[in-house]
Amino acid sequence: MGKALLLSVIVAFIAIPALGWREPSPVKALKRAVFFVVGFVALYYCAIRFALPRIW
Amino acid sequence: MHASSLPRALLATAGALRRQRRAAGAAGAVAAAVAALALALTPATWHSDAELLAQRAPVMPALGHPGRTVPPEADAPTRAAAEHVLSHENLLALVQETDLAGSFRRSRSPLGRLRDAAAALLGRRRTERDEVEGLVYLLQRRLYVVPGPQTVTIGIDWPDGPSAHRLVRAAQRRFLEERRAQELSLISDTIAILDRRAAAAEGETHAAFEALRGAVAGQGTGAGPELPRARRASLPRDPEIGRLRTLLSSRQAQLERLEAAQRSQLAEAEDRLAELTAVFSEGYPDVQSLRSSIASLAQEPAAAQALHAEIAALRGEVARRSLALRAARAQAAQVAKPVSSRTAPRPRSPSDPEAPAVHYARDRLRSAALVDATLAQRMVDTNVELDVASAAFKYRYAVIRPATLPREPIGPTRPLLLGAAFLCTLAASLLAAFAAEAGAGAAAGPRSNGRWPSLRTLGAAAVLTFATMVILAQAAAPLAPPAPPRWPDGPAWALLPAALAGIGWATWKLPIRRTALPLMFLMLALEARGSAGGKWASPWAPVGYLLNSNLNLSIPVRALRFSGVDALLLAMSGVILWRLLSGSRLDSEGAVRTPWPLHLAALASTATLLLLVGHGLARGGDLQQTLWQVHQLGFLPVVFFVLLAAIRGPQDFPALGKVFVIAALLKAVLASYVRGAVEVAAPTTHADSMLFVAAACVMLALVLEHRTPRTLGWCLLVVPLVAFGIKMNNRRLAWVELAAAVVVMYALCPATRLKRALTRGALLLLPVFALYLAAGWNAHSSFFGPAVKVRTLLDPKYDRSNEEREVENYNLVSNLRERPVLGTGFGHPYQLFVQPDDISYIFPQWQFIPHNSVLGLLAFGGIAGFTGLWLVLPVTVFFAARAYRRSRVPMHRAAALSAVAAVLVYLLQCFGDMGLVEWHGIFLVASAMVVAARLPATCGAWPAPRTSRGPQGGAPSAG
Repeated sequence: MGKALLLSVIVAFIAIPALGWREPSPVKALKRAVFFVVGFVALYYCAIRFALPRIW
Repeated sequence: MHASSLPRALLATAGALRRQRRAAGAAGAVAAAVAALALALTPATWHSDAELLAQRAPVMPALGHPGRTVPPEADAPTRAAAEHVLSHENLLALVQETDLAGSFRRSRSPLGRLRDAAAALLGRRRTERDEVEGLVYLLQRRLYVVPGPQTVTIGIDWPDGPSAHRLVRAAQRRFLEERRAQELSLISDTIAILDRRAAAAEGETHAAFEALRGAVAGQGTGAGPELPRARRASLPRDPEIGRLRTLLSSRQAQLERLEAAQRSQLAEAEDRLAELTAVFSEGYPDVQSLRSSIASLAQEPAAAQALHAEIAALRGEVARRSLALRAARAQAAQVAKPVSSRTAPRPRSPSDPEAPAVHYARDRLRSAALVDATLAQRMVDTNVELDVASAAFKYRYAVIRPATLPREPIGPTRPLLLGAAFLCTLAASLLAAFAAEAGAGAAAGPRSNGRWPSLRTLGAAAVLTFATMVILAQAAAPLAPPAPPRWPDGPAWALLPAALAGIGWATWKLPIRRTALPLMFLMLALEARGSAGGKWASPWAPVGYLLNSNLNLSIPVRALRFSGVDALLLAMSGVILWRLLSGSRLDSEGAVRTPWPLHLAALASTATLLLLVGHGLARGGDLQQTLWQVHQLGFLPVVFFVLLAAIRGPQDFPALGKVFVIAALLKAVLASYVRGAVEVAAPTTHADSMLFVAAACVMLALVLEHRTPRTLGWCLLVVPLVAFGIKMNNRRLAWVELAAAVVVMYALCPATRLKRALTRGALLLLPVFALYLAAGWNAHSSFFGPAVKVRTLLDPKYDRSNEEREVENYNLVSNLRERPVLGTGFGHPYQLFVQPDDISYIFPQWQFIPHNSVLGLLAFGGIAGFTGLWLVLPVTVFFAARAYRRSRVPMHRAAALSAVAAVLVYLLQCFGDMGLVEWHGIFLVASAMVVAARLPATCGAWPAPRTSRGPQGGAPSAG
């Protein structure tokens, strides 16, 4: 479980930007991608901070 | 390839063969001749083995010494058999005893001689000492010992039958001799110790007796001890015993020498007989004469019989005299008992025997006599033990299957080789027919889609295939171990100034793609220090060391504290900047504009790196450790900048892909060869996993997007070779990377009917896979091998390594929790919340460069640092994925797909094993960034497809 959570950052780095941005405007799409990636890293930290020590 | 194109391709193949009969026939004849030559030159492997019965023999020792109790586990006749036989000292003795160097030279295969000649030409002539050490090394790999509960099997696979036989016989004989010496010398040494103690006890008894006599004599006239005059003179002694023992030792040594010589003669005669009987019949005079010699040698010679008799007589005499002496001393001690016990009581006087001095002297004598008697008894017992052990040896060890001279080699398998030769001939005929068709432009047959492979391509494929086969054949049966790594001798260094001048000229004059891509190829293909565990180095290793390691390790100038690649990359950056500023269009001609967010992300990465370095140093971090941590990562923007100048647009993508594919092929062949030649678990570095997987992804993406006979052929050639390289390199992470890359490429592919069917099938099979995984979790059979592999990756308690990784991950996460925003900064070791094993003796930087680079980056950089440093990766994936969706050109789509896979491979390597400090990862990610930078403008994935019209084309520019 701990390892799966740790690996999820890699999945996010690949999956979020590549999730088929059909948005015609590339700038909008990029903004969205960066927002999601940064948001994911923050969430990831929260997961590590609060959940990981319990499930380790 | 479309389904209908296969029959058409087959028809075309048959047509090409018919039309180009001459070319195909000639090529087939040449290939057949080469195959026949290879068959003749391929070294053979001969096998010989022998089996010994090694069992406990408790009856004789128990009968010989009934009072002694020995636990059964103390008697293990097969214990440490392999360790003894394969010990360096024993193997060295085997090489010398069997004159292995001479027979090895005489029986060397033509291919091996060719290799020696090539090595001599390269300045690696082998000295006699090298040769002997090489043979010892080869014996370590070829000789095997299998100790069972009651048997010991010794065997060997060797390129020469008689030598194999001699080696096994000699190894077996030496094993028996060692066991005999070990078992008997233990008792002999005990006897020697007891002998010394007995002599000391005898002296003590004599001194005690003299002291008692003095004490008694001092009491005056009436108090003389009632000892017979003769006995009062001194304690009984027998100097003859000492002389007899010396004689006994000398006779035993003589007997040992005689028996060893006899055994050696017997073995030699048996070896000779085995060789003769393999050629001649029983009636041959030499065979008969040898048989009679062996029969006479097998009998105990008269001299040995006489020695045995003399030794037995001497032992008996020593034992008889020892017992007599002991009895005499016991009598003397008895005499020394208090007078009061044997005479009438009389008035006590100062010199009365009951006085303290006399009493003490008498007690001393009694104790000394007791010790003396006990030792004498133990001497007798131990001598019996020695005789019994000597007699029991032949019952404990018996040869149940002697080594026989092999009559035919076990390898190579001739039918298999003939089959391979036939296929080779066929392939050569086909290749020649295709080449002739392409060369003559007469390929009038149906061309389904795409062109026939060009003559050059096919020629290269044929040469590569042949070279690979030869090298792999050598790897399968290496006849001589490789020489240890050696630095180039004087003459090679003389080339350095010329090489530097050439590199300088090329960097300054040529377009940067002509120098940057070769540099990248060298960095990917050449080995760094530490490859193959330091046991093997290729002839071009010094060039790799110059590029990868600090130059002062190769060139004796201390100031050169940077590597060759550092210097070259910085020099190239300087040249690019100069060309930009001076308006040169050498690199920017035809370059495609690049999206600014990628440049912004690269700049953000550089800025974050500098911030984290400053943050770490401000907190008292270590500058040297900081450089270890960020050396490669800090060069990522530089490599990106250089490659961006080198790759002008999609027209340069094939060159980029070829660099990875050719480097991976070379490394795959190298890994296969080294794995066969050196006893090493992983023949090249872990970073090569990234190279292998990247090359496989390039080929798979090419086939997915651009299916032609040519791409399919290349894919079928490259991917299996690379997969074999991954297997030989023995890094499980590479398989994870390959699987993950394939899944990601599959996920990105357009949704076709086939893809939907495959996805449904995979989902349906998921429970089956889960069941297979569950069933094989603890299994040992090869059927469940993949399940066990998965377990080694996932189960934190599988082995010590996994447990240590868990501890490291926990510590890193705990560090992140301590400093969540900016981390510790670089130059600081991560703190240990749980104490792991200390590995500083093999890796001093272990607390600065953790195995898990992802968590390491989080611990050192915190959330802000991590995001800033690596935001460039999702941005790269974003542009590559967007370009993939927008582009309609198959080659472009394949490049985009490969770029996404490359980032994934890099991330997984970082997560798995220190990907952050590997040059391979930097070149891989920089290549992906360049593809992601150059593609969007050509397909509308970023504002507009435009080409540069001025000198700014290759430079960062607003999109």
